[in-house]
Amino acid sequence: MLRINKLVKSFGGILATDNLTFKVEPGELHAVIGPNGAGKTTLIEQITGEIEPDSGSIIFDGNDISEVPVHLRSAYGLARSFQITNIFMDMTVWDNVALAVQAHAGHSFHFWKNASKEQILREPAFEYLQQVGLEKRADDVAGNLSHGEHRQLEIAMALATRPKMLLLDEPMAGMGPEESKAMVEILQGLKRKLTILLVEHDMDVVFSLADKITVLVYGQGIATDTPEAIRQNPEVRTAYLGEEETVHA
Amino acid sequence: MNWILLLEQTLNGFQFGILLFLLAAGLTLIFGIMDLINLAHGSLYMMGAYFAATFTQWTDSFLLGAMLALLASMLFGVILEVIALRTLYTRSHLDQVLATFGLILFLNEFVRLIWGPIGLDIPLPDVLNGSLELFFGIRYPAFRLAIIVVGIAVAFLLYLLVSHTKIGMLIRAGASNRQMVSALGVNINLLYTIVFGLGAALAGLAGLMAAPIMTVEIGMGEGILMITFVVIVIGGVGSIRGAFVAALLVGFIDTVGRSFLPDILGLFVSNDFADTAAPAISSMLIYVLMAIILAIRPQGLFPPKGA
Amino acid sequence: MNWSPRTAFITLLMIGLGAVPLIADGIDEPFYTVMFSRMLILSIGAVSLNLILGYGGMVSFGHAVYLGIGSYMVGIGTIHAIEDGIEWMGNGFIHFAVSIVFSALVGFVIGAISLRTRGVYFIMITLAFSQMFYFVAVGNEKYGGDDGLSLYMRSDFNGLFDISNDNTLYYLNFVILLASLYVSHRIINSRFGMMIRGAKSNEQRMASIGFPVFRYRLTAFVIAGTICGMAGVLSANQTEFVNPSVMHWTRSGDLIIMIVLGGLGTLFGPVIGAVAFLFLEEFLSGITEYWQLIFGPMLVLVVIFARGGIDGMLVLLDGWWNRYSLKNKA
Repeated sequence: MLRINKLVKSFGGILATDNLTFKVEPGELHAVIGPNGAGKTTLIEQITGEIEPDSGSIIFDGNDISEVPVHLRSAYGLARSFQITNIFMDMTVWDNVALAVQAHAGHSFHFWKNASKEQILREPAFEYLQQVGLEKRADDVAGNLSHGEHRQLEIAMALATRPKMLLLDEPMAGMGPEESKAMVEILQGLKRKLTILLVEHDMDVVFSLADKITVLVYGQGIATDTPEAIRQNPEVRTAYLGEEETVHA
Repeated sequence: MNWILLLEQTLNGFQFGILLFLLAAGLTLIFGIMDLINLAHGSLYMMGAYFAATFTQWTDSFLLGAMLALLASMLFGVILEVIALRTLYTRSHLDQVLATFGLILFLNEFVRLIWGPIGLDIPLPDVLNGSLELFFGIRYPAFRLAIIVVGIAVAFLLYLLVSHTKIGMLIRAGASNRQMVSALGVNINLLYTIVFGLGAALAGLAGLMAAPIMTVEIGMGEGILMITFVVIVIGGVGSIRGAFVAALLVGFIDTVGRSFLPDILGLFVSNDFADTAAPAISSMLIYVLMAIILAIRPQGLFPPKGA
Repeated sequence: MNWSPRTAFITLLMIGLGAVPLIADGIDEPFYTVMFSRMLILSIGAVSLNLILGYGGMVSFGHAVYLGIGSYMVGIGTIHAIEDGIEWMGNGFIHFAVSIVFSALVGFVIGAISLRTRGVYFIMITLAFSQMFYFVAVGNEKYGGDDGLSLYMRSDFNGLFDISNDNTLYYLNFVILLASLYVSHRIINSRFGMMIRGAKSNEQRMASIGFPVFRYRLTAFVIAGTICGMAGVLSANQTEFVNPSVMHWTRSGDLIIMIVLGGLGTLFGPVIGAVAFLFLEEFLSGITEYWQLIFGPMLVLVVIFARGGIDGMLVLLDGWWNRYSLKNKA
């Protein structure tokens, strides 16, 4: 589904992505882990097109999308959620998702019909809200939601673009235990329905959800394997897991 | 084509460019560092001119008057920053535009109240009043030469200030990355006030130097402010080097364009048409230049690093 | 309909505006018709700017350009109609049509250049281009240059209606204002409007969910320009005079002030603001010759403290009203 091929990106001499190669199979939930500064967000932003790689290629669903502009990658079937909450705060929850539906319901040069009465936008939007368990908050202004709910809304909006693949950039960041649990359930529900690339800090989440894990250290992919194999991998243990445990402690 | 006239107009363009640079340097720093769009920057230019007129009258000496006017402009800028503009740094650009627009209205009316609606003239001292022979018998007004010399000196001092002092280091850092400067634990309010005072002094200097060759009048700062915007857009917001290059470029094209466009147009179309169309077309030149540069380099010629 | 102080105020305002010529004639003060006519025309300009500024977040500081284009189309047309006897050039429908086409064209060019930039760049570039048009008008001696053109007749509408009558012109202005309000209302609630508002709120997200933001913004920019161009046609007819100052940059500033004063990004805010602005001007200049000495600082204070404008205050009033009526019911 997604193939990252010898990807390189440096910022003023610092290699944020260092000759990175890995592959995500269709239907797989693939996690990318790595300590802070390992280049996880840089990787996501290259996949979404917000940063242009120096060299290497990103093959998505058989197409080389390395130089496709951001708004067109969505049309290829790629959707993302943001690490910092990135929604339309002054619109209602429902409007937020409806807008995402609208993005893929043909062009928006419709000047006359009231969009908030277009069932063709509202109904699918509501279904996505149900999928992330936000249907009760549909008519609330998005700015009034809790942090966890913002994250759920992010995912509903990503789903609304009907992606083949979902990029989730630290969906649990800043969440309490209850909220995390709800999010894990949502992700469980989405697993197998579409391909997911998950960048996440929380090890418990990653190891309970992921089919495959890629470990990133200083921009290099030091291993890509199943969770069990990653747990056993001595290189990963020294380079990463040991450090992570001390951080958690 | 008349080569002596061309040389003279080139010098005039250079001199105009210097005035533009003085305005643009302060304004571009204020944009770059405080992210403040200050429409009232032209008013500071106007205040500089009026201060110079008054102080010259009091002291009976243009030089002394100019010194005092420079100080007064800086002080005026600092007061303005502390009272009104400081609260605007964190506000949206729309708020800044509106509030500083309000300041323009106020300052124009204030000047009309204090100095009256009629423009003022500043008499020049004899030293600066004559003209100097440059070469080949070409004479050029001494005062305009003085503007060029002062402007270049100020540009050089600014260069030293920005590239060789601690404040300059902070200014450079601020222009490319605001968050970083506040993270350095610098007294950011003081830095802002200093930068604004510096900008006001530069604008005042431009105003007081323009005063003897253009009339001192209400609203004199607004026309030149628009051209300064063009300079900043061309040079790149936050870049003093960009402001310098763009100011000279714009000053040259505007001045030379205005005096030679009728002749140049006359080569292609009838003289009558050239004479009527030239003023309109020559006033478009710098904007067309801006459009072209934006099309090629949306961030201007010298965008600050990291921006 | 759910009556609240806000809806009551806006309804009364619109009915009041509709009744101005009747009242003015009744008290034999036709001057008021002319004064309010100006308010209507500037309201149309402000409503159009509000589309991109209030709903789209594009701080365009050159909107008066379109007032100028509309005005000059009438001015230039009328001059040729009178001096050269070319009758169709004095026709109002032609004036509107040409203004719309020309405003759209200018809007497209300015928008295409300026909308590639953000923030202070965008403000400065729109401002600079409006200044360019201003200077072109000043330098154009054939059509009056700095002094402008006096019009010896108003646009002719094939005898359908005769706007040389101030009251008829007033109602033409009023109808066009109502039409532009209705068009705005439809646009901002359409898919296109959702898109424009979304891009104001969060441009990065709009791109990531797949919207090509630039072309929608450019379209909005062009629409706003054409509506304002129509206001320009009306303005020239109102004053029977066209000069460059109609597109002076301070005029663009005035339009922004009206919107913010009335209520940014609300349907009727620009109308409320335009009426309030011209009333304030009338009132303050009655107190002192130096009225901007008061108006300037007032503007600063409005920006710093009263962020929702007059409409924002009405919304506050609605809040109190609701709580009050709830208490009374209980």
